[in-house]
Amino acid sequence: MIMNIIEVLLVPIFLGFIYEGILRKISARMQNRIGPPIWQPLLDFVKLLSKESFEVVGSHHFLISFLSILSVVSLLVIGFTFPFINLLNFRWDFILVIYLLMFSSTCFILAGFSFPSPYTLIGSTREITLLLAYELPLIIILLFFGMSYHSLLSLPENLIFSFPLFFISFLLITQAKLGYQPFNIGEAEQEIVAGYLTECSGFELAMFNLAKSLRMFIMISLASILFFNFKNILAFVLSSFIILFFVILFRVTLARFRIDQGFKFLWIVSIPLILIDLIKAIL
Amino acid sequence: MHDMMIPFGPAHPALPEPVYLKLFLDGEEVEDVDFSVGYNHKGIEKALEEMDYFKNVFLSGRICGICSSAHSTCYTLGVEKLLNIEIPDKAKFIRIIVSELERLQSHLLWLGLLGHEMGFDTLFMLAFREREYVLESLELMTGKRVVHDINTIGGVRRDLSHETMIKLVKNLEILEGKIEYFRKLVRKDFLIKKRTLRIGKLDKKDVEELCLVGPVARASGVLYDIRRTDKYLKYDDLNFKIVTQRKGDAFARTLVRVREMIESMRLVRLAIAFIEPGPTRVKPILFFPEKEVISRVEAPRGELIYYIRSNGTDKPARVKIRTPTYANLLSLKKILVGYTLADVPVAVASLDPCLCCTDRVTIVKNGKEKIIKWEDLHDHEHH
Repeated sequence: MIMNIIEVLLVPIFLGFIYEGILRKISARMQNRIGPPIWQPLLDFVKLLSKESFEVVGSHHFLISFLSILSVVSLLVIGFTFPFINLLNFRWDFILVIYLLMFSSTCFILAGFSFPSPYTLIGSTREITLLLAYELPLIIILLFFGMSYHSLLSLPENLIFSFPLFFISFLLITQAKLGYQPFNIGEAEQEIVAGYLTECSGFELAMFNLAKSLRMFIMISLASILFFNFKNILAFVLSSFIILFFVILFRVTLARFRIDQGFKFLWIVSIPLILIDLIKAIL
Repeated sequence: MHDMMIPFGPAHPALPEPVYLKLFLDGEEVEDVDFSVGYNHKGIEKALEEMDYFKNVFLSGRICGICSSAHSTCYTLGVEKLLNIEIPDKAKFIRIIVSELERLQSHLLWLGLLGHEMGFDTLFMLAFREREYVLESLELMTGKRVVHDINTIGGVRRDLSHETMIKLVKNLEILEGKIEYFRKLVRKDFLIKKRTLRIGKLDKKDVEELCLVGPVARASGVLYDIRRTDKYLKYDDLNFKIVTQRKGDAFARTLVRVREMIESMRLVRLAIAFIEPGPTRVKPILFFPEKEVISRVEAPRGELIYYIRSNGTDKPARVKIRTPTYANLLSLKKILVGYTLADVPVAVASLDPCLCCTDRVTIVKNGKEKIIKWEDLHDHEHH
C-alpha cells in the first residue's frame, strides 16, 4: 500500500517534468536551437528549492506558500482517479476532476491577487477571463460521457473517431489551460513580465512550476484517456505523445492572442465545435 | 483619475533598451502615457567636439550598434561638404552596398523583435538565423559584423574585391527565398494580422503634423525618403521603388519594412553591377573653412541629420545629431492611447525605436527630473 502511494505521487511528478523537458527540447529543435537536456525542469526545480523565497511587503507570505502547495496537491489527487491507478474512483468522479482542475488554476489566480503588484493583478484578471471561456466547453466534454471513467471505458470504440470535433476543441482547451501560445495571455512576458507569478520566488515559484508541469501531465493524460480509449499502457503512452506533439506544435507556430480575441476565439470556435458533435450524436 | 499606473521599463522583457513608459490604465485600456529617456546617455556630441575630424569617423560609427554605417556615412558626407571634395564613384557604390546591407539586417532584426513582442518566438529565431547571412556578407566586405562602417573622409577604407562580390551575390540569392517566405508569412499569418491590423494607427495628417520619418511615415502614405529627395551618393543612378502603404497601422509598417528588404537586396545587386575599377578614396586637403553644414541620410529607421559647425581648427566646434527615433518618439501618445495594454509592445516595436542613439541628458536631483540646456551643460564643463 505504501509503495503504491509513493508510486502514485512520484510517477506523475516525474512524468510532468519529463513532458516539460520534451516540450522544451522539441520546441528548441523546431526553432533551430539546441535546447536544454530533457531533465532540465527537474534540475530547475531542485535549484529553486535551495533559493531564498522573498517575502513581498504587503503580501501574505504563508498564504502564498499554502496556495502553491494546494495547487500541487489538487493536481496529484486528479492522478488518483485515473483508471489504471484506481485509488479514488466512484460514480461521479469526473465532477471531482473538473472541480480539482479548476481549483488548481484558482490557486494561481489567488496567489496573483495577493501580491500588491500591478503585473500580478493584471495577470490574474486575464487568467480569470480565460477561465470563464474554457471551463464551460471542458465541463460539457467531460460530463457528456457519463460522468465517470467507468462509463467512459465501457464505450466500445475510440472516441476520437466518433467525436473528432470534441478532440479539436479539447486541444484548444488544453492549450488555454496550460497557458501556452496562443493563450499564454495571463503570463505574457512582453506585457506584464511574468503575469501572476511575477513576485514569486524560491519555494513558491518551485511549487507553482511543479504545478504547471503536473497540469501538463494531467491534461494530456486526460485527453489520452478520453479520446484514445486505451486497452494497454503502451497505447496510452503513444497517444499521450501524439497529444504532447500537438501542444508543442501550437506553442511553436502561433503568436499570442490579445485577451479579448482569445476569449472570443474560445467561445466562437470551441463551443460550436462541441455543439456540432453533440447534435450529430443525438440525431 | 486613472485606475493604475504600469511601469513599462526601464528594464523590461519587451524592450532590450532602456526607455521608461508610464502607462496609465483603466482596466486593460491605456488612457494616458508618459515617457522618459535618458538612462543610457553617453555624451557622444561632447566627445565629437573633443577629437579631430578623422577620429570622429570612428566615433560616429559607434553611436549605434545597428545603424553604424548610416551614422558614419552621414558624418563623412557632412565633412566632405565642409571640405568641398567629391569622392570617387566606386566609393559611393561601396557606401550604398554597406548601407543597404545594414538596412537589410536592421529590418530582419526588427522583424524578429516584432515576432517576440507578440509571443511568436519562432519568428524571432528564424529572422535572426537569416540575419546571419547578412552579417556574414558585412564581415566579408568590412571585416566586422556589427560595427561595420568602412567610411573615411574622402572615400572608403576597404576595396571590394571580385571574389567578395561573387560571395555577396551568392548570399543574396539564398536570402531572396527566405525573405520571400517572411513576406508571405506576414501577409497570411492569421495571428500576426490579428495583432497588428488597426493597431497604432497614424493618419497622413498626424505624420505631417508630427514630422515623422522613415518607414513609419511611408506606412501612412507619405512619400518621404532621403534617398529620393536628396539624391546623395549615387542613389539617383539606381532604379528603386519607395515602398509606401496607406493604412498607417502596425501591419502597414510591417509590410513596408518587409518590402523594403526586397528593395534593399535589389539595390545591392544594382550597385554591384555599377561598380567599375578605380580608386576608392581621394586624399583630402586638410583645410577646414569656418562654416556650418547639414547632411542627411536615410538610416534604416528614417531620416538622420548631422549638423557640423567648424571654427577653422581641426576639431569641430559643434556636432548635433538628430536621430530618426527622436523624431518618431513624438507619436507614442498617438499610437498607444486608446489601445489595450497587450498592444503596447507591438505598437512600440512597430516604431522600431533605437534608443541608444536617442538618449538625452536627464539630471535627477532630490527626486525631481530636470532636463538641462546646452548652455548650462557648457557652464558645467567650465566650473
